[in-house]
Amino acid sequence: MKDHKILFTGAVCAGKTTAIRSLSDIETLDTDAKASDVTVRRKKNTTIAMDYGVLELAQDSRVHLYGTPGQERFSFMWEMLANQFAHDAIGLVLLVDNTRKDPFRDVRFYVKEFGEYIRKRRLIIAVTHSDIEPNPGYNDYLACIRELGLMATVMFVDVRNPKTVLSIVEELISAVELEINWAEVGERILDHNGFSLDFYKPIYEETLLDAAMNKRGILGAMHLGAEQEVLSSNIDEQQSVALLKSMHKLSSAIAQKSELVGEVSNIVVGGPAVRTLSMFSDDDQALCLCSERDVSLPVLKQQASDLLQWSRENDYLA
Amino acid sequence: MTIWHEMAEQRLLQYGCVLDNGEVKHSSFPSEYRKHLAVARQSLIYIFKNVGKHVDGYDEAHMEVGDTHFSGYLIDENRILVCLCAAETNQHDVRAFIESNKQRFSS
Repeated sequence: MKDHKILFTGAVCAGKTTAIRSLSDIETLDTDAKASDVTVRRKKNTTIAMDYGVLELAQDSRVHLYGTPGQERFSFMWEMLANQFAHDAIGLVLLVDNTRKDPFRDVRFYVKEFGEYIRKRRLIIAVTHSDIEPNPGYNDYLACIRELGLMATVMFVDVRNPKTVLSIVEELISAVELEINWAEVGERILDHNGFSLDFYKPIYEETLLDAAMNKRGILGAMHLGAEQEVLSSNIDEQQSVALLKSMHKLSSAIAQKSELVGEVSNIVVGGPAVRTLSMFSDDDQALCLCSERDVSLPVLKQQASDLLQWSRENDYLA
Repeated sequence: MTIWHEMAEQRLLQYGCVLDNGEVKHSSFPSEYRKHLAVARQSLIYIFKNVGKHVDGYDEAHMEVGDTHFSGYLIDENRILVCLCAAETNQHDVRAFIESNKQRFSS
């Protein structure tokens, strides 16, 4: 029996669990838990450990499918999957949700997180949700991977459709498995797994502040509106509040002169023995965070980006 | 080799300068980046002025403006090191470099 492995990763709601369910011949192992952070805007459950499924390609060949949890606070599992369960995978599939405010930020984040892993195997960037948001398009992703100096294949997929997810597997496996009847495999899994319809349904939501407090290393948060008014806050130190407001004021002042170099997306201040204070602006709102010093800037930015993403109106999800 | 070349070689920054009482000294910013430097200078002076007004212990600031990342480090009460750097720059490394080369920024 020839055993191949593929690892799926990507941000929350990118479609990792659905992709593996679409393909698997066995009942998938998924370690979903009730979502306790901002992901509840889109889904009731979120993967906390891993997804696992198996796809039979032929009598003597199968593919083991592993999926990482999306949330950064479960990133210890990313390492475990990359170094143990899927250390010998043939490729990494990075699922990118095209409805994200800045899908390329996700690409950069995961490419950095899995940098060493990617160097040793093929990378496929599989763009999802493009039926809702067609931009950025194929050429934009090609430009992004060129800029990052990557060798990668870009595919637009609907992970609810087993046949389109199978095309990713075919792209990775066909070079080493020449005798597979892909059309037959596609028909079988379509009959067996069907077409998932519950991918986009939001179930319930919680406040931005509660969601922020569930992120690793976040000690306090403040949500500011368009007029710099405090919409909600649990940061008690008035000096920190005043400093964060001054940072937001600065970003608004620069925004009025944005033709200079662009708009301010974030300002972060820190020191060797103090909590980090950060302000992330996003159109008509800003999220201010007070966090532990050991949370790195890239992680902080990714957390804020996730939080702000779903604090906006997402009418298409209703 | 200047300190700017040394830092650039270690991927700690692309361009840098020292602000001494708000005035630009020892800059490696090329002329086509003068707008970036102007924004960084005004912003970092404003940030550290507000930091001084409200809280103690803060001596570094980072800003993402458009596609540009600025960082500012307080070298002492009068001087700020301004760095234009890549998004993925490890700021712990920058801080460590500054700590071990503080004297060189004042010369």
